[in-house]
Amino acid sequence: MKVIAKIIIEKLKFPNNEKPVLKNINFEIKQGDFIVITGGVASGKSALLHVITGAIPHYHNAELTGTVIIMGQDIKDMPLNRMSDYMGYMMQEPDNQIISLNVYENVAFGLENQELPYEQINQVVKNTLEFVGLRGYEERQTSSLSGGQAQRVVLAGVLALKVPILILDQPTAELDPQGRQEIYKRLGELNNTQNLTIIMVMDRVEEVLNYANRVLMLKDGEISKDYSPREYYWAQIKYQKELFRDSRHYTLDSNKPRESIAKISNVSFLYNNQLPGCEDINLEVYKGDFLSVVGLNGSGKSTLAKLLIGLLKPAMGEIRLFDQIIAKRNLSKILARVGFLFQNPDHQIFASTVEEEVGFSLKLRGERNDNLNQKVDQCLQFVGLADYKEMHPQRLSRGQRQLLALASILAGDPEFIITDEPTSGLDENQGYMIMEKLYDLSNNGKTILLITHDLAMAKDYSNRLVALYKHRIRLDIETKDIERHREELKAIGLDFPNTVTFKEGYDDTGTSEV
Amino acid sequence: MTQALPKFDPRTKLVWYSLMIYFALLSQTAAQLGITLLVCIMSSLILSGSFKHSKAMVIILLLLGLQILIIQLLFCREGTLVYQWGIFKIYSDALPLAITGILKATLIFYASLQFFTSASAQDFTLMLIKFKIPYRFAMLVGLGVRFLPLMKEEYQSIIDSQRTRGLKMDSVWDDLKAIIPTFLPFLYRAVRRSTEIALAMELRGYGRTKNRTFSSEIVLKYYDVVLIASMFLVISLSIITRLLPLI
Repeated sequence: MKVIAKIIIEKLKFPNNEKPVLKNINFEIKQGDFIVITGGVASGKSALLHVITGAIPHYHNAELTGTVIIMGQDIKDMPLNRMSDYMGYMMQEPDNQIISLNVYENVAFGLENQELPYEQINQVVKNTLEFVGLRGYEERQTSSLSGGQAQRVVLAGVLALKVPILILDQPTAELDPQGRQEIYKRLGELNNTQNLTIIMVMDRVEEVLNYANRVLMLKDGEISKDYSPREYYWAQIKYQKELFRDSRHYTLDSNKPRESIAKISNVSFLYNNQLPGCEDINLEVYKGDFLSVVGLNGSGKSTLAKLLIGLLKPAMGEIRLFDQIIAKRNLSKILARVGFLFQNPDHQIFASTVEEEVGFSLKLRGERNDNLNQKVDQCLQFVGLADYKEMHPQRLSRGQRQLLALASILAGDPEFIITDEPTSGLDENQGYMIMEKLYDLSNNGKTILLITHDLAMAKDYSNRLVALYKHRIRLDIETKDIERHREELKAIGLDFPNTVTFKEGYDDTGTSEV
Repeated sequence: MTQALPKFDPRTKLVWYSLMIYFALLSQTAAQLGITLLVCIMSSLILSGSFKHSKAMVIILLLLGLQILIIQLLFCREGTLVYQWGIFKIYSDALPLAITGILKATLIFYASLQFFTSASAQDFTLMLIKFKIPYRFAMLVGLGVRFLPLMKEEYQSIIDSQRTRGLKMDSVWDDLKAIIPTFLPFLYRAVRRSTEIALAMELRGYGRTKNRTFSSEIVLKYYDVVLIASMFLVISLSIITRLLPLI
């Protein structure tokens, strides 16, 4: 296969950073490659994509030593806005890439910049929207799109450019399993039928292994391994066996009366635009539960969590937390016993050092300084950020900021922890590590409510599973009974497709069947 | 009904808006202002078929009107004295002046609302392009319309996030104290967002040439030309009648 890119990075350094972000990188990309790049937090994955796209050195201020040749041209000599002739780049957050008010305009944006005639733009936009499964969405306002639809609109905008290389940074981070599978399938199709070269940073590599032909593992800014998908799979199995427990056992006695932490009775909620958030919800959370709330995007999971901590007021029904009805007068008292980890850590980080950020809620509670420092140290140790305590939080990677947000929540020693997609933006191993931490907390008597799309993770860690579908609870089961309810879960779009198809693809000798 | 009406060019709407502002500033009597306001309201009713978008405006105008009335009653010294209570005096011209002021404010406010809600961001952008504004600046209107609601939503999420960490926001004093923990994450997010938007745009070829294609365009129709010409005629006649006595 023809080599279309050659990446040689001796060193990449950002100003005020002593340590290089990338070093000793040397690899070639061939036409038709489907390369997955993975690695731990702050391993340099996104920086590498920025170098390949030319964002470094043209857009971000960084010192790059090396050569990056894309289709015979050195990126140093190419203006950034000419890169769209060679590659399309899709970043993680779709909201930051949707530029126009309606779907049509957004997909047409790149084509308009190329000064194509209107008729040609029209044809390309229609074909691309059809390809990503959004035919008929042309006039739809981009503000009304769901996360999955927005992700597909961004993909359409990039695909419309008809470039030979597609670069994707965690393109499915905000999607449910169904949405993720759709995107992978379409990308695989493009890779196979049009020989499109795909370079993708992924946190859940296993989901895309069946489509990829190479997995690059980054560690401390270097390529530590260049795997074939099969080698990667077996290395991961081995690693996870060594690192994590084989099985988790909950010893909850179903005959023993259990203390209720939260009780939601006949709760419904309508948003201002009259769209339902939750309908007729009845749910009781018991002390010591590790309860997973699963469902597709827009099924009402986050709304339920917000109702539970009084951020939203139910239109109907009653919510009790620690045996008290949530009301304005007792909300702060109740919230002092609850920790809520939001999906986006950037919605809470404001302090100028990591330790100040973790100590914020303790300060609000008037904690004494010596006690505060001790608790901050313990929490940072727990999430593995002890070495960064003096650092400005905005200099941490997205995954590290997520860990920082978790440490800030734990500092308050909450009895009930609600986490909304706590592993989003983390790599696979880091995600499992967070889940292990939550599992340990659960074993230490904390009650955990986990909101996730990831049924496999919910199955592995929780003792109870609640499935939401179209804003209603469709299933409330013990996790050990999950296999018996597989058909019901499938019917509402929840399954373990990624794990299953992947494992089916490779037998235990490591030989690919596909 | 609405669909049957012609879709006016944004330039026609701009001239109409200018005409309304011109009359609001130059009309001196309540009758003149009242008629102009009525014409403006009627045009909205004919074009959109409802007053739905005016609902929020009524409350603001009531507050503004009350303020104008109080100021005129307290400080107007024109006309004859009609009431006195200590140093507090009310003169006969206070009420007519207050009414004129309220009508002027209402007309300006209503015409602005009519103009800014009737044209889409895309129409604004295309209009600015027609006025030879470089597209890099003209497209900022659309970007603003797209991202301001997102930023508002994000600020609310930040407030929610900090409240769950124990930050009190029950009084004005609490709100003031909460500015740093709520505004700083908003600022960091805004910087991060704008950096990513700009990068996403550049990587899709934005700014590579002096011109770009737009997938829609605005063209003055015959009725736009007639309307614009008529409105200019009205403005010209008004200026001439005002200037003639001075010559």
